[in-house]
Order: sequence, then C-alpha cells, then structure tokens
Amino acid sequence: MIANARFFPFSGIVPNDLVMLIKNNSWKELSILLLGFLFRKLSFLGNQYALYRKTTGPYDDRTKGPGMEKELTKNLAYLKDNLSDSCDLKVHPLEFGPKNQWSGAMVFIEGMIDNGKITDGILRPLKDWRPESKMPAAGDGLINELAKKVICAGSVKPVASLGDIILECLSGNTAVLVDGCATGLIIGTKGWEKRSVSEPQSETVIRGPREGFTENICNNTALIRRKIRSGRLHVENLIVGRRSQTDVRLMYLEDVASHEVVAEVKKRLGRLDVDAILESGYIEEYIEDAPFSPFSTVGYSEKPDVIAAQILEGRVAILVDGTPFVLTAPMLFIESFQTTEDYYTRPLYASLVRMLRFVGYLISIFAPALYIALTSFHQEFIPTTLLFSIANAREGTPFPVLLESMGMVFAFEILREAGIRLPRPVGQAISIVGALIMGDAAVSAGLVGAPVVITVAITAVASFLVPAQNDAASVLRVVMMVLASFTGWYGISMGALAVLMHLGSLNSFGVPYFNGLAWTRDQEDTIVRMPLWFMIRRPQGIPENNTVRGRFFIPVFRPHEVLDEDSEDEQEEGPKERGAGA
Amino acid sequence: MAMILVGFTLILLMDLVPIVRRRSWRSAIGFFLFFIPALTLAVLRQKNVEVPSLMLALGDWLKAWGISY
Amino acid sequence: MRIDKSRISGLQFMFAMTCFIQASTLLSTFIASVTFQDSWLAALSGSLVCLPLIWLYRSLMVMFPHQNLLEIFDEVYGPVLGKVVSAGYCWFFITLGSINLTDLGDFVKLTIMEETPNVVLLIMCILVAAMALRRGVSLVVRYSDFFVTVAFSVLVISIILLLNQIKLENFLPVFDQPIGKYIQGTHIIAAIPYGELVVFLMIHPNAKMSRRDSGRYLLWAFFLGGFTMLFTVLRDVAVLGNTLDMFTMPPLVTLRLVNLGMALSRMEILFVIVLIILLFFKIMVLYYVSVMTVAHLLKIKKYRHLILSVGAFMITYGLTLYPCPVKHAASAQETTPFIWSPFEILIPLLTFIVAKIKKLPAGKEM
Repeated sequence: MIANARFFPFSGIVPNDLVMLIKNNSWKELSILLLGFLFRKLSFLGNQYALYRKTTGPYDDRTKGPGMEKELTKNLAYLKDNLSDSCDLKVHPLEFGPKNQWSGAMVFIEGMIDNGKITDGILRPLKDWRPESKMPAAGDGLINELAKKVICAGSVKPVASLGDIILECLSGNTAVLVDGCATGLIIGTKGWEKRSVSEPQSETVIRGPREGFTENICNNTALIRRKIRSGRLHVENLIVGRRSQTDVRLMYLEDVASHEVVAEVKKRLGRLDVDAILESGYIEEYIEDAPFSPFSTVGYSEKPDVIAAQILEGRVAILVDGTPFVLTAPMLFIESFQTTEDYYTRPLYASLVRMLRFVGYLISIFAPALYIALTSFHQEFIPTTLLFSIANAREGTPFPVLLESMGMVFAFEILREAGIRLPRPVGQAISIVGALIMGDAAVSAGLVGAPVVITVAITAVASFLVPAQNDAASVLRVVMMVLASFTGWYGISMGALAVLMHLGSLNSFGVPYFNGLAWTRDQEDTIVRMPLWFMIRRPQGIPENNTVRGRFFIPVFRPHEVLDEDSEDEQEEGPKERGAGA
Repeated sequence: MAMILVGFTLILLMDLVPIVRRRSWRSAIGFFLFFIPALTLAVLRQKNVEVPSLMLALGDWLKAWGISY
Repeated sequence: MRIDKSRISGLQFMFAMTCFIQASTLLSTFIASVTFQDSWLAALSGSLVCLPLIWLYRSLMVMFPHQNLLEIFDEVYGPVLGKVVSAGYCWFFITLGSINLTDLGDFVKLTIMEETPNVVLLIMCILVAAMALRRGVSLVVRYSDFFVTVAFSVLVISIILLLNQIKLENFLPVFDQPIGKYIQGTHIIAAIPYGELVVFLMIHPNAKMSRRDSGRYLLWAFFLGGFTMLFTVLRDVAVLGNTLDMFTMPPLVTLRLVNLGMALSRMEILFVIVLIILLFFKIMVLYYVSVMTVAHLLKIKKYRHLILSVGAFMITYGLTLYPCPVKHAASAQETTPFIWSPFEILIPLLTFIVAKIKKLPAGKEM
C-alpha cells in the first residue's frame, strides 16, 4: 500500500490518510475529502477557462511594422531583428550611381529567389546605370527613377513600411533599400525549386489530359486559366494562417456562380483563425457543413480539367498554396460518381460505367451485411445448391459470421493502409502476401469460410470504383454489418433508409447535397450520362445566372446513310451534289 | 427493465434538458403528456400486466349499438 | 402560426399522397376475406365512391390555403369547440400511426424475422423516422417520388413475371356475394386507404401550389394510388383465385409463386422491400402529423423536443392496441371503418358546410 502511495493519482489527499479512512469505515470523512477534491478540481478548471477567455488571441504576423527611417543602417537593423537574425537572410550591400555615390542594400531570403532575376534584373542594371540628365536627389525621386527606368523586373513596387518588407521578403521577393530614402522597392524575384507539372498519382486517366496541379499556387491558377480563357473568371487572393500566411485563392465565374455560395465561402474563410494552413484539408475541415457526417461536403481534385469543369458548372474553387489538391464548393453527392473520363468517352459506354460505379458503391456498403443477413437469418432466400456449399464451407469455422466478416474487413483495411504507405515495391509484396497467402491459409486452416473471403474481396475491389466516397463507405459498411447481424434484412432496410434520411438532411453551402433520387432534370447526368449536345443546361441549384451552356442542336445522324424507303432519285442526288460542289 | 429505464432516461436527457433550459413550460407539458403514459405502458408491459385495448373496446361498444358489419 | 417552416413543391405533395395510398393498399388485404374473388370490384367501387371525398378535401385545401386542419377547426368552430375536435384528431392520428407501426412489426415478424422481439423492430423504425422529422416536412416527403417509382416498378415487374400463372377463370363467378358484402368492402376501401388522406390537410399549407394545382395533384395522386391498388388486387385474384382469403398476406404468396426457370424464384423479397419502404413512409408521415398536431394544440414553437416522447408513446400504445394480427384483421373488417368514418368523412363535411354557411374564407381573403 505504502509503496504504491506515490502513484496514487489524487493530489491533495495524503494517500495514507485515505487508506486509514477506508480501513476505519469512516465514509463521512471520506466523502467530504473526495467532494473537496472534486470541488477544487472543478474550480481549477473554471479558472483555466477564465484565463483562456482572457488571452488576447495568438500571435499574428500581419501586424504592420513601423515606417522606414532614412538611415539605411537603422532599417537593416530592424529587419535583421524582426527576422530573428536568421542566417538565410541575405543582405547584399550595393554601391551605384555614376560615381558610386549612393549606397544601398538588397535584402532577400536565400533559396526563395531566382538568382538569374537578381543578377539580370537588379544588380546589372544598377551597376550600368548612368542618369541621362541631372542627378535625382536622394529620396522618393530617386526611388521612382529606379523603379521606372532602371530595374528590369515584372513587378516593382515602392513600400514605406518595414512590416510589408518583411512579409514580401518571406514570400520570396527582394527588397532594395537606399540610404537616405524613406521608401524601398520590392522587386518580384520569386523563384524556388519546385516540382514540374506531372501526371497526378491519385487520379489517373486513360483518355484525357494528364497534367496535374503542383504545389505552386501561381502555377495552379495559370493551369486553370489556360482551360477557361474567360474575362469573367474571377481570381481572388486571401491570406490565411497567422504564422504560415498561406495564400488561398478563390476562383469562380462571376456571371455563373451563385453569389450566395461565394459570400458563404468567403464568410467561412474569413471566420477561420488558425496558426497555419499546411494543406487544403485544413481549410476543408474548417469550412465544411457537417464535420461529423461520414460524407464529405467539400469536393477536391488534383486535375485542372476537373476543376475547370466544376468552375464551369458554377462552383467555387479554393486553391491553397503548397498543395496540389484544389477544393471545390458546393459539393454534391453525385460528384463522386462522375469522372472527367465520363465526358471524354462516348455516352453509351460512359453511362454503362456510371451504372457500374453505382452498383459497385452499393456492393461496397451492403455486400458483407447481405451475406451476414442471408446466412444467419434468411437461409430460405439462398438457392438450395448454394446453401449447401455455403453450409459446407462454414462447417468447422469457429467464429460467428459477424466476427468472421468483421475480421476479414479489418484485415483488408490493414492491408490497404500498409500497401499505400509503404514504398511501391514493398507495398506490392505486402498485398501479395496478405491477399493471396494469408487469405488462402486462413481458409485452408479453417479459420474463416471461403464465402466470407469472396464477399470481402468483392467488397474491397468494388470500393475502389468510387474513391471519393471510400471513407463514408468503410464506416457505413461496418454499421450495416452490425445492423444485419442483429435484425437481418429489416436492419439493412432501416439502415439504408437512415442513410437516405441523413443524406437528405445534408446541405453543402446552402445547396441540397443529395437529390439523386428525385425526378429532376439533373437525372440526365446522374445514373446515365446523356450526350453532351443534350445537356445544354448546367446542373440545377448550383449556378445562379447563365444556366444555359449552349444552344441546343442535334448533330446530323448518319449524314451519308441511304435509307431503303428513300426514292431512287434522292439516292442519285447525293453524289451529284457532291460532284457539283467539287 | 434496465433497457426501458436507460431508453427513457436518454429521451429525458435529450429533450427535457433543453426544454428546461429554455423555460418553455408549454413544451414540458407536451413532453410529459406523452412521456409519462409511455413509461407507464412500457413498465406495465414489462410486468406482463394486460392493458385493455382501446380499439377493441371501441369496437365492442359500437357492436353493442349495432353499428358493425 | 406555422410551426414547421420548410416548404415542399406541389409535385412532392402529390407523390407523398400517392405513396401514402400505395402503402395502405399493399396491406389492405382485409377485403380479401370479405369479397373473395370480387375484391377488385370492391376496390373499383371504393375508389369511385371516394371521388367526392377527394373533392371535399380539395375544397377544404382551396378554401383555407394557409391554414392546416386544426387552424381550420379553430376558425370554423371557435376556439373551445375547435380545440375539442382537434384533440379528437390528435388521438386519431396517433392511433393511426400506432396501428401502422404495429402492422409493420407484425408483417416483418411474420415474413422475415420470426425470432426478433417486436419492440426492437418498432424502435428502429421510430428512430429512423425521428431522424427525418427533426428536419421538417421537406425531408419527410423528400423521397416520396423515389418510393412511388420503386413500388410501381415492382408492381409492373411482378405482373410481367406472373403472366404465365394468370388464369382468367379465377375471376369467376362474378357478383356471387350478397350485396352487403360489397358495401362492406367498399366502405373498408374508402375508410382505410383513401380516407386517411385527411392527414394531408395538416401538411398542405407547406406545399407551394396554386388553387388549380391542388385539385390536379390530388386527382393525380388518387389516380396513381388507385391504379396501384386495383392492379395489385387484380393480380392477386388472377393468380390465387378464391383461395385469396386463406393467406394473411396474399401479395406475398402471389410473388412467391413466381417461377420462371431456376433463376427467377423467391421474388417475395421484392414485396418485402417495397412494403418496408412504403409502410415506413406512411408511419413517418403519420408520426410527423401527430407531432405537429400536439405542437399546434399546445402552441409549442419548437416541436423537436416532442418527437422522441411522442414516438415512445406511439410504440407502447401501439403494442396495447391489438393482442394479435387476427384480432386486428377482424376489427379492421368489422368496426374500424365505422370508427374512422367521423374523422375522415363526417367532420370534414360538417366543417365544409359550416364554413360555407359562415362564408369564412371569403371574408378572410378580402
């Protein structure tokens, strides 16, 4: 007892006393002691909460620094001080002018600038500069002269605040300060090592553009602009994150996107007050409608053609610097089933694949549950021969069917996770060992029945058909399995109805999330994909104005076909006309 | 019995707490109007007490008046 | 005072009514043991008799486009008498909901889940419905068009699959029963599937539709629902003949008879699916209407906190109503039409006449 005393979790009560109290059966004192302890804990928590409420908010990098001084040394000292005297801050002293009478400094951060731009755009012109007429005096005149006539760069702007200079330097620009001037110049010299545009790993296509977004936000906006060369394509820059100061850009078609949705997105982005945004997932989590729903209400993609199509349908794209994943809002449930390839391949096949995807999604949710329901409750619905073989296979397996299938689903999830995270060659080895060897061994050792392995395998394969809804499917699958094991077919029906009700209650930025079962015009692009010339309107609910995509016309079907009923002379007319034309 | 109590306590926690917080006594009346009979019937059923059926009683009453097929 | 502010479209309103009729249809096999192979005649005459009833509901909807049934009573009968009538309707809606709930439980127990306790099934159904109720009427009727589509397609598929089993002589002899039986069958059909449409007088203020539309939608709903009922009964009679009354669930048996080759058999699972879906919809609507009635009676703005307690009451009350399905069927055949008639026919008719005499809606609109 005494040896354990110091591990006793209650602070404030001497454990020995407690032991004595318990031994003496003096429950009254004991309860007083414990209540006192509880009271103290609660008041401590209350104080903590009050303290938390009192704090004046976290550190913010956006604070405006003081204005610049005339003396260069003071400015440089301030900059060094406020950039924590970092070693990657480079201050390059300059002397320029016909007689080298002006001294200045170039400030930048190593690794974030393009060396070529600095040499050709700043250093060389400054060294070679010979003013034509009279010398401008030190001060704003000189800075203007430098900005207009000397420096060769795409973006040059004067600044007067030291805070701005720090921010610009941190985003890769170069500051040029001149002794005796209370303004400096910011020259756009951004340039760092970046990944070039390549085929995205997460969304591969057979037919369609293979380019994907990169981590560079300017590149990403350009990729979208290249797809939509419309003056109405609005791009708006926001800076989010107190410390990370991440660039976040909204892109939407001004005359198509719903103003309510745009305002809602801006409102939610403005509300967010965080330290850093490292990936668009951060933004998604802060702005989504239903954080505790298994269904995601913000879409994302890595491909410019997908995002361009979403923008054209009236959605708002949210680009985040530092990640190739671009968010789109509002998201509809049906979006997860539409891929760009549906629109690049011919409608018949595309519709077939679309239906396949729906079936696959249903299988990935309901197949294990159905198996459980059928084998444990409704054996009469299984054809007799199949029932015999299932009974044969299940003979000798030690676990109830729920446990068996749960175990297999769990094993599959482990394998999938391992396969994704490991380097590719090892990942393949894992999946071979896991799927083939373990599955086979488990069946032949009699741990699980072969039908369970088959069911889980088809579930697993089917779940890859709709990758965007994979997380929802894995949650729902387990729920359905539990329901099926308690109340069989009825449980599955009620579970499905509950999912429907939940889907119906969801909204994404004010747009109903799930409307797939209603009789609306949107059915043209839901279970089937109608020909492109048929879908002349943008989907309902998302765009506000300009809902018509194009003029409706039916392309000429089989223009050169000669029908049997056609008269003889018509048959002759065709070649004649063609001959005349030539 | 335990299940009944747990279930009804859950209903009580989910609905009565917000009602009391909003001080809307009308809602509280509406709530208890159904909550108490439901609890009583559930407990009676648990104790295997036969509760007479209202519909059958009404039917018998109508039959006594001669209104039936 | 509108408690639930969500709106629905006229089309959804129509589909909701269709779905409601269809749900009662599939279960209203009570007439099978009354009129045997002439059940389809009872269904037909019941539908025709109900046309004036539909017109009555339609005129009430048109006369009071922004007031639900309870508000109409308050307006027509004054606050005190109106409240008494409203309380009667409150009992009516809750009882109706409970009866349908126990129907679902009995049916599921009978067909697929023999061993599960009834209460568990009812609780699951009420919980899912409560989920929808929290979001208001727009979610309650949201999937009605889908449910109607499913029900229709299953009906059509089953008729096609059963074409090889249909024997026209099963309809013979026609008009073999005493005339009283036909009247009874007609009354049952009028009271159970169609008369229950009175619950939609509680929902119509939420539907966006014009005066002209309301009549059209009601007629369409009546037509689609009646079509389903007629064809279900016709199919069952054509396949089973006058053995119809031997089964508690004739449609289930009919679908079990489907046998086209090896693959297409045991189709009753389709009927089970459709019945669970449709009955769930009906229970959800009745549950919603009950909660709204209570909220209106007590003038409670936030009806959300009533949902679960009313649901719990519906379950426990429903379990006391009928000790067994046989008693239920007997009561439905003999007395229930008479118990429901005042609520479905007499009081609406009286309200309509009194409102016309008092010239109520005219003064309101001016």
